[in-house]
Amino acid sequence: LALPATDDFNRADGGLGANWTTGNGTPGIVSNQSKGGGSASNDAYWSADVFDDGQYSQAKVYGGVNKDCGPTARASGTSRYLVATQPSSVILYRSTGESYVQVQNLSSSAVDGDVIRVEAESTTLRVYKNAVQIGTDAADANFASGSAGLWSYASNPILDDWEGGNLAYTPGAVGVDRMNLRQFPKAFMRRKS
Amino acid sequence: MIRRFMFAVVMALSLFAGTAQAQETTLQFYMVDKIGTGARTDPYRPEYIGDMAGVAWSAMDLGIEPTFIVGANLTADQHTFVSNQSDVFAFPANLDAPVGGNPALNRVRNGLEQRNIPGSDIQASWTWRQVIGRIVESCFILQRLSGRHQRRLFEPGVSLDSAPSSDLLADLIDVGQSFGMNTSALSIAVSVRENLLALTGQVPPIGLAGEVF
Repeated sequence: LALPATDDFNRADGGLGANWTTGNGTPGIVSNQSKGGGSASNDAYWSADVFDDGQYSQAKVYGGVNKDCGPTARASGTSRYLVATQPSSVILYRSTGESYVQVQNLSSSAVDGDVIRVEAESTTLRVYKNAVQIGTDAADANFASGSAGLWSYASNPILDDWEGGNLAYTPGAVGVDRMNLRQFPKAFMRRKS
Repeated sequence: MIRRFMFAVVMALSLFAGTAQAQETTLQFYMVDKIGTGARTDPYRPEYIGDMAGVAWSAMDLGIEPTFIVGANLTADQHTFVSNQSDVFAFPANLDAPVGGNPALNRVRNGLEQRNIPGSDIQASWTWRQVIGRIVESCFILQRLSGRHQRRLFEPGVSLDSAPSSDLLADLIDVGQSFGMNTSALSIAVSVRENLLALTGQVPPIGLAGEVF
């Protein structure tokens, strides 16, 4: 298969299928959408292709007041960066299994049908809602590689129209967005001891 | 108990004020404790700031060590509350001002050293941006140590001034190599501090909460 990968989940109820590898819980398909079956994390990553370290993952989020789901990046085994999208909050986590570390609170909200996207470029993480970045660039150096995927918590949230792929542009310096790199290199050279 | 009560009061006042009009916020940086159990309902998060509803923040933790550096957009009341906590190091709003002499210099040196971040070499001429840079560089290295080897740097018996064990040194070399760094200066013949500084000195600029360090 070739990236970007897409999945609209329009097929029979059950597991996600051979293109996906389960990380935690029992992610699956119900009524042509992705819905978890477990009482905690239900997540999987696309394993039919190998992703670059610079990658993105996006999906539409549903679930009304019980929304608690989002895309994942650099998923490997039971670890991943995930965006927990709830009606009144959007929070970026670093997570392994059922252990969660908050990386960024984006002070945002979400409604059914919003497209949430996470990008991982070097050690920079970015979150977008409906193609507009929310919050600033985040930095985390824990997970260097992995695959794009999806995550939901318990059995009420729903994801649909997932897409994952490689970032098209060439990564800049580690941990710095390209705009800042252009603006700050001389200042950085002066400051760095 | 008193701190929790005051925190609740500040939060209540913030919410009340928020209904009347949106309060102006300012980006400020803080070094705080890591709280939480890691559970979904009690995730690891920056103390005080991580529990403020509606506050935008971005943070890096010091690997598995119990410290966060966090940039947060806080109201004046929220900033006053957080910066008044004895276990919080609040940085000035002007990150490009110099640290200056004592008592600020000793305070920042001790503040970092108490959290196992090399700080004794900080000079009065350093800017606060450089100080935060030292913290985020340390977070950068210790996060990768955690991500690749699921271990903390400062296990019981290990301090900045102790010598690293051979297996810890091997893991630090692996961390450096994972970033493409020169690891030839790393050695069990020098302290953890010197090994850590040999790596943090090669960390490229890091963006956090819209600032570059």
